[in-house]
Amino acid sequence: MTTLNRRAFLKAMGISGVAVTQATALQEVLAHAVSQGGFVPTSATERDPITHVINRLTFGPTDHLIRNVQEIGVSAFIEAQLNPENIDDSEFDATYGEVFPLLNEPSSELMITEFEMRQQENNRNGVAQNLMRQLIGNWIYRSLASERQLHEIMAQFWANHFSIHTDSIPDIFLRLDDERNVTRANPFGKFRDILYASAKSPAMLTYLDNATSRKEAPNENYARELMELHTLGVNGGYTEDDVKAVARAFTGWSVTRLRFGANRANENTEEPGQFYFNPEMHDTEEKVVLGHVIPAGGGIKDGEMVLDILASHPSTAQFISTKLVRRFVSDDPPATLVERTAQTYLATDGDIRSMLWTIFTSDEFWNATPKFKQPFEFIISSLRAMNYAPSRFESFARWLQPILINMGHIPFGRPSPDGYPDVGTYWMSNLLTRWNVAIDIAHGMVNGAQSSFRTLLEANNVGSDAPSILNFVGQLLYGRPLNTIEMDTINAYLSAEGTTTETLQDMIALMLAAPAFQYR
Amino acid sequence: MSQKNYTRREWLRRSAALGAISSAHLMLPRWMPRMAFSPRHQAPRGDVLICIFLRGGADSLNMIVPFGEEAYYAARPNLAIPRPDDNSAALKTIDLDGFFGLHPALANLHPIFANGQMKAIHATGSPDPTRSHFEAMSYMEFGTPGEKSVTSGWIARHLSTLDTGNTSPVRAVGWGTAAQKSLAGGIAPVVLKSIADYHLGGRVDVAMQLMQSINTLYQQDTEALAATANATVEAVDLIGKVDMNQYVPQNGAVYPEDDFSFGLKQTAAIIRADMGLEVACLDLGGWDTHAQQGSTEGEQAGLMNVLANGLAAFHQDMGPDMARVTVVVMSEFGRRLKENADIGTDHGHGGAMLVMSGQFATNSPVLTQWPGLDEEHLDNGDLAITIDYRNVLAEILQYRLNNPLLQEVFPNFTPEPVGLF
Repeated sequence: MTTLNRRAFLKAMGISGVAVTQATALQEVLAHAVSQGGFVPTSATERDPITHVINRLTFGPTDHLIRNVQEIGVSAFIEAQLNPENIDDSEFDATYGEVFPLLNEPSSELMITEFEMRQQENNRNGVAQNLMRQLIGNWIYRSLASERQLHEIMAQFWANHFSIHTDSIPDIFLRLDDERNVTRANPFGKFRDILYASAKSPAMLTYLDNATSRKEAPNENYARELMELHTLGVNGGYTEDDVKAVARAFTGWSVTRLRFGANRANENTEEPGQFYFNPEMHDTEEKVVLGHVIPAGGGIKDGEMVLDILASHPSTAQFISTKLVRRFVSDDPPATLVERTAQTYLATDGDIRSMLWTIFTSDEFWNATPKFKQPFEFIISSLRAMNYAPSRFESFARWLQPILINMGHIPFGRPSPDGYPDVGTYWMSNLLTRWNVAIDIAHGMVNGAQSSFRTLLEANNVGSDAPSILNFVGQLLYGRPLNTIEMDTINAYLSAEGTTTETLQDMIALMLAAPAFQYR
Repeated sequence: MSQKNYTRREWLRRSAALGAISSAHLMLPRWMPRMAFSPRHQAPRGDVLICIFLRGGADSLNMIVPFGEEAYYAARPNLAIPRPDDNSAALKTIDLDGFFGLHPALANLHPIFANGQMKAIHATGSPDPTRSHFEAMSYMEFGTPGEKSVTSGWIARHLSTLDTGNTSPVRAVGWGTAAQKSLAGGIAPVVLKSIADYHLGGRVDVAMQLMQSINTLYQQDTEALAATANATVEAVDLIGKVDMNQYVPQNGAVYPEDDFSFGLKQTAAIIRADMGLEVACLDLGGWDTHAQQGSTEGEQAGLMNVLANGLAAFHQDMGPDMARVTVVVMSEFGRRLKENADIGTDHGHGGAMLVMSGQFATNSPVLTQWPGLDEEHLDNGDLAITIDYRNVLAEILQYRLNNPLLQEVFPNFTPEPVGLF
C-alpha cells in the first residue's frame, strides 16, 4: 500500500473504531465475514469472495482476471485497483493506445481544425463526429480491456454524477476537456478538486446555462443542480433563496468564444472554449448562502466560496457516500455503511480513495447480495466473459451503438442532468434487448470483434460436450456451478433441439440471458 | 413443480436482501394492505388512456397564453406571445375564450379545441412546493405529492385496482427504453421503442423455444423480474402480429417523422389491432428552457410544434374512434412568470394540462380557477396552483376509465370536481 494516504486511512479507521493497519483490517473483516457465513460458498447460490470482488470492482469476470485474483489474493487486488498507477496496463496501451488519437489533442486545436475544415471543404461534421465516436469508444475499450478496471468504473461514476448531455452542449470539443479535467483527472482524489474542475468546466457551464448567466436576471439552472445533484442532494437543507443566491454568486463564470465570428465571441481571449471569469456579468453585491455571508466585491471568489461551503457540508458527505455505497453495495444503501463512509469523507476532506476503502472493508460490502447490472455493464461483462477483443472499431461501434441506444444507456446520452439511475428497478422493465445481446454474443454475431472463447476452452482442457462446457461457463459467469433449474432448463432445450454447434451456442446465450448473469 | 421449495428459498433470499426492489415491485404497494384481500373493482374497460409527459417543466404560460393579463406582458418583455389583436405581429396568440389563447406553434390543436375535443386546465399542478425536476416528476408520477415512501405509480395502481377481465400482456405500454414511473410497481408494462424491433433475434425456427427457456430461468428470480420476463414473452408473441409497414393511418392522417409522433402512430396501430391496450405512456423531453426558450419562434416553439403536430395527426387518425380514447398531457411544473436575462425562464410552480377526448361535459375550452399574475397572487414569483392535478386525473379515471377506487389510486386525497366530464 504505497500511495494510499496512510494517515487519512488511519483517521478513518479510527473513527469506525478499528485502529489497525490496512492489511490486517481487511483480513479481520474477511475472517469476520467468514465467521458470519457471509460468503462461504455453502450452496450453489452463494458466491466466493473472488467472484464477489471481481463483480463489484470490475466490469465482470474473465478467465484471466479470476486467475490473477486467485494468485495475488483479494486484499492485494483491492489495493492494486485503488492505486491504478501501479497497475501495468501496457498491453492495453499497446493494443488500443492508438485507436483514438483525437483524445490526445488539446480541444482548442480541434475546434480550430474543425472551423478550418468547414471553411475550406464545407465539411460539416468532420472532426466533431469522429471525436464523439472516439470518446464513446474510449469508454467501451477501457471497460472491456483495461487492467485498471476500478479507475474506469470511477471515471464513469463521476461522468454520471456530473452528467452532461452531449447533444445539448454547443460544442462537442468541450466534452473532451471535461473528460480530461473532471471525470478522468483523478477519480480517486479529493471530491473538492473534482467539484472545482466541474464548476470550471466549459462543458458544464454551457450545459447548465451558467456561461450566459448575467447579474441583471441570473440563470438558476447550474446553481440548483450544483446543490441538488452535485453536492447536497435534494433534501440537503438548501432553500429557494439559496438557489437564487448561488446563481448570483456564479454570474460571470463563463466560457471564451465557442464559434469563430459568433456574436458572443470574446475577441480578447486567444484560446476558444476556455473557462474565464467575466466581471461585467458578475453580481458584486453581498450574498448569503446556507447561512454563510459572502461579502460584496468578491469577484470570482464568490463562486469558489460557495464550492468550499458545499464541499465541506455534512449533507455533501452524506450524499456522495450514499451514491458510492449504492454503486458498490446495494440499490438500498445500508444506513450504517453510508454513515461510516460519510465520516471518512469528513475526516479526510472528501478523499474518495479513503471512502472506497471504508466501503470495501465493510461487512455490508462483503454481505451484499447481487445487484442488477445496468445495460452497459451487462453488455461489457458478457463480452469480457466470452473473451471478445474488438479489432475494427467502426464495425464494432455499428453493432454496439444501436443496442446501447435501444437500452437507453449510451454514454453521454442521458438527456437530464441527474445521470443514469443506479437502481435495478429502473432497468428491469427492458429485458428483450438483453436477451438479443446474449444471442449475438454467444453466436459470434458481434461485428468488428473476435471471440477467442474456443481457445479459452482448449487452454482449460474443457471437453466439447455440453456438461463440460456448462460447468466451465457456469463457473466463469456466475462463480458457481449451475443450479437445478438452470441445468434442467438448458438440458430440456438441448434435448428438444439436439446438440449441434449452434445449439451449444444457444446454450451459452441462455446462460448470458439468464437472471443470474443480470446481477453483479 | 419439483423445484418449488428451492424457488421459494431463492425468492426469499433475494427479497430479504433487496428489500427496496421487492417491495417496489409487489403487485400492490405496502401502504394498501387492505387491497391485497379485497376484490378489485370489476367494470368493463373504458377508454384507452394515453399519458404524455413533457419532461423538463414546460412553460405553460407561453403555451396556453393568458393574453388578458397585463402582468404577463410586464414580466416578459422579450418572451411574451403577442395578443391576438396585435396587428403588428406576424405570429400571435390564437384566441380561445377571450382571455386565454394558444401559442401559434400549437395552431394544429386549434381545430380540436374548436370541435370541443380538447380542453386546457390552467393553474394546475402538484401542490408540493419542490422546484426540483426529479422530485417533482416522482411525486407527480407516483401520484402522491410530498409522500416519499410510495414508489408505485398512479397508473400502476389504477391497473391493479380495476378488473376489466382483460388478461392481455399489453394492458400497459411504456414507449421508450425504461418504464415511466407512473407505471412502476404494478402489472409489468411492455417497454419498447419500436414494434418492428420487438422480437427475439437469432434463428427464427428456435426463437420460441429459446424464449420459453429464458422465461423458465427467470421464474426463479424475484416476483417482479419473473413477471416482467413472462409479460415480455407473451407480448413478443402478440405485438409480433402488428406489422407497422402495413399500418395505414385513417382519415388521411399523416404523422410527422419524429420519435414522439412515431410513438403515437404505433399506439394507434396497437389500438386498431385491438389487443387489449388500456394505457400507453409517452415522453417528450427538452422543456427545461432556462436559455434561448424564444417567444413565437425558438426552442420551445419547436417543441410545441412536435407536440401539436403529433397530437393532431393522432386525432385525425382516430377519427370517430376518439370516442374510446382519452389523452392527457402534463409536465412536472410550470416556469417562473418573470423571464431571465438569457431569453429563458427558470423553474416555477403552477402549469397547465391538456386533455383530448371524444366527449366533454363542458363547452369551455379552458378550465381554471385563475389566481391572477399580480405579485400578491403569485407563489414565490410563480403561477399559483388552484387545481390539484390529481383532480383532473381522478375525473378521467372515474368517468372515462370506469375506475371509482380513487382513494386507492390517490391515497389521502379527496378529489374535487373539475367539470371535464
